[in-house]
Amino acid sequence: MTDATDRDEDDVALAGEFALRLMDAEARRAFARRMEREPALRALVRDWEERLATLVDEVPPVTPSPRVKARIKAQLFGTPPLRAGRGGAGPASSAAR
Amino acid sequence: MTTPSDIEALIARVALGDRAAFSALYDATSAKLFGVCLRVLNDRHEAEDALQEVFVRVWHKAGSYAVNGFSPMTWLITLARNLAIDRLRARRAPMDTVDDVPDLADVGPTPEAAAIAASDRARIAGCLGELAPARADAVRGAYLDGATYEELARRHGVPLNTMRTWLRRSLLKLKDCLSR
Repeated sequence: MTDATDRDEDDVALAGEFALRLMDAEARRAFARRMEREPALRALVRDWEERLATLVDEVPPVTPSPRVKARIKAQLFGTPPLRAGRGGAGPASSAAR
Repeated sequence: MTTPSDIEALIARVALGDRAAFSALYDATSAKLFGVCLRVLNDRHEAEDALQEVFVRVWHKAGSYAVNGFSPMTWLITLARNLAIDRLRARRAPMDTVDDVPDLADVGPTPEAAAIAASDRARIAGCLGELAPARADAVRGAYLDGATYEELARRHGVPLNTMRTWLRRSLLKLKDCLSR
């Protein structure tokens, strides 16, 4: 028996699996196609994303190295990245990425 | 202290190409987002690359933020987590993981924004507490570590289909608890 409630429950669970990135590639694509047509499905996914995102309250913040901001600005705005002084801090490979 | 509405205002200015706002947004949120990337990738170098990608996307996609109905930190956290998971899975199985599914943010507007009030923030933790501990751990592992069904099944020593059933039932219980 698949009445409306079963289908609703299926969609709640599917939306949760989509938000958690648990679906295999084929199921994920199929669900994404449904999302494009069904605003209610997008709202379910959005709701899961909102709820699940609060789990990161338990993840400690970690300050990234200043070179990351410099690299981002260099990539977006062409401002030169931080010089890693002569004789260099940090591996050249990371500066070149 | 940066409030959600401060973050929202910064994103709005970034959408107009405001570099100072972009810099302020980075300063206000990068430590949290780096923590999220690091948790998934467990490698500082890769997490830095992911964080760079996150903020490059933020710069280019800030304009689409307004229509997707996310609260500002959820948008940023979801972006960071998804990009980190893409890298994690590319690392493990390079052939099979190109994720060509658009982000929710690109798919279209959702009906009505639903920012989670501070009083609600504790609720998912409380509702996870109503699940058996192993099942709550599986949900956390999927979200915070980006674990797949296969990995979760291995971690918990149960067959793959059992893990699928656990997870789906847990999601329904959570939804039930959250809408009480």
